[in-house]
Amino acid sequence: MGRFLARRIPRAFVVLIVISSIVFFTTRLSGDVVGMMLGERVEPGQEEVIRKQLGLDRPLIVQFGDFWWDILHGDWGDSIWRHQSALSLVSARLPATLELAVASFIITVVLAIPAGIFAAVRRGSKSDQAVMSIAVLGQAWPSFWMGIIMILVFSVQLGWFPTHGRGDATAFFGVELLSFSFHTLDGLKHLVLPAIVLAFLPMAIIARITRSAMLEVLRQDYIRTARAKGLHESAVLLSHAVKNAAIPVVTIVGIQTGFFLAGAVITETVFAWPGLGREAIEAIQKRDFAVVQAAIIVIASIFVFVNLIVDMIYGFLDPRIRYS
Amino acid sequence: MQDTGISAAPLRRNANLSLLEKIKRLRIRFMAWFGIAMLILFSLGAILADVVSPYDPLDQELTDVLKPPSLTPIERSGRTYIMGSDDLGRDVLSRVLHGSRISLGIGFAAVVVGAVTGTAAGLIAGFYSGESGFRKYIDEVIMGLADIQLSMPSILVAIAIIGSLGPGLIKLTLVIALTGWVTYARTMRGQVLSIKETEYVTAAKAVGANTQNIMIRHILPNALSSLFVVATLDMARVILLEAGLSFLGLGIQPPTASWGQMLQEGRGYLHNGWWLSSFPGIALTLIVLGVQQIGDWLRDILDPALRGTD
Repeated sequence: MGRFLARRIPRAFVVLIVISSIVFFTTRLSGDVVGMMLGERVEPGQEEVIRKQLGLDRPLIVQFGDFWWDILHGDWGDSIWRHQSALSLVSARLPATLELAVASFIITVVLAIPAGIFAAVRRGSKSDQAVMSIAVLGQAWPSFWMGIIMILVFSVQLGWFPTHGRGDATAFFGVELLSFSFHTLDGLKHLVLPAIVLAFLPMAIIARITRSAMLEVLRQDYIRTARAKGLHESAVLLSHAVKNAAIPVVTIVGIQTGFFLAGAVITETVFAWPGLGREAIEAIQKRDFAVVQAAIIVIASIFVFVNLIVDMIYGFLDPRIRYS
Repeated sequence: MQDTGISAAPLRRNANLSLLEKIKRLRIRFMAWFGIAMLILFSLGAILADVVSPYDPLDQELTDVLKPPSLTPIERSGRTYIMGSDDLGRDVLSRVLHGSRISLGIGFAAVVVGAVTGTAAGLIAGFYSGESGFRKYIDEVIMGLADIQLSMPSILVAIAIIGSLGPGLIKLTLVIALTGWVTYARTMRGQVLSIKETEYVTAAKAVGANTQNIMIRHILPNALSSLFVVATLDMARVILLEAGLSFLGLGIQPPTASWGQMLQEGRGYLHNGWWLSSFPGIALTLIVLGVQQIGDWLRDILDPALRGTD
């Protein structure tokens, strides 16, 4: 395990360095950052002053060194509109994104895996076809349109759920990073639609993979042996089939885990959910580059961290992966 | 290792069959027919958008704001809005038709750019894999880059780049293409590694064919069917990504009609204009579903080894 981690952890850092560098260079290459910040009404000379203040008159390589120095020292710059540190703005939005992602993840795992197992066991039946049709549709149905339809039907027509936003969040144990809203009825109502919409695509993929993994296992000789020796069908399925089908399923669940963060950008925009992704998009529209930078680096860090954990779980479950 | 020589053979074997027979032999299933129909329908819509659109997609008729879909003409303007009109009195049908140009156009362009770059990278990586000296680093660098790219969600990369560079048609296409090259590179490299040791490649080496020749004349043609499958499935991904970015306001900018951006505009009219978002949404879902179904079918007939790997 030590050697396995020794390979994976540096790679995680390389990914973070690459993504931060992309953000740095694209903002600098995008031409006139100061001009875009100031807009049209600029007095002559004012631009030069600001350029100097922000240190943009220095060579690019010096700025790049500085960028890393600041990031490593926790100074991620300030929002130009709200005069607050970008990091504090971004971390205030983090709990909302985590809450949405975790809720979606739970919905996905709880629904998709049993659906896939069920479809495999009832292969060729009407219920198998129904599950697979929903999965096929789920892979093609863009989440932003699905979100709009959900709002149209369940919020506008039926009035069951609010159309947008998040319920009041309260800090758990006084920790701001744990400000959640799911424990109140209002918070839960706000959470349902976005969580389902975000869960749909991974559910479709995971249900399909679970089904094919189960079908693969169900043809094996040891399943026939288990049945032949008179084991109850439920015992055959649970202790022989499901266990052996688990590795590909865990793999695909792992691959999809990062998606809950990346996909949240779109879902949060549809439902005006005050999370990291929406913060990033709003900051892009307002050309608030420090906030864009901070939001993207934070999302990427969580993504990379989650993937690292998932890799470790595989290494633990399946020793072959550790040594490959 | 799979025998890739077989994959395209059933199509060539019976050269003297009638066209109808040939099509029958392809065993096109229902959903694949559906996909082909959608692809033809939307391609025609995209090519003929200027001819078949009832109105100019940008033409605003400010007296006809938010008219619901109907087959009878509006009295004052005399215009008929089969799919309704939007908040500026523009014809939704004409905008959906013109939007298919953006979706399919960018989709196709990004797939071509991604496929060419990825294939070239995979070919080179696979060819130099296992060589001695500095050449083996070529493989390691290319596949290392691929690994890094796979560790970053493509939508995040696209948002980071477009968010800082600003939107634009060419930039959008290139960024979307950039997010897709890895799949081609990995597929191609895998193919090269399995073909490299076959007798005909060894024979070509033995008679003194040069490196480029072996790669282009012997290895590439054998990998084409797998690449074609990857490209079809990638097309669906690319169309969705473009629409998603346009929905976020990072893709095609108004007033040009694109489905993603029409959905974003329609989001503001849920109470009084369901048709604004519904028709572009239906169009987008149909084409993505269609292309995915063609891809699944092609994978099953051309490349059984890839089955179940999605």
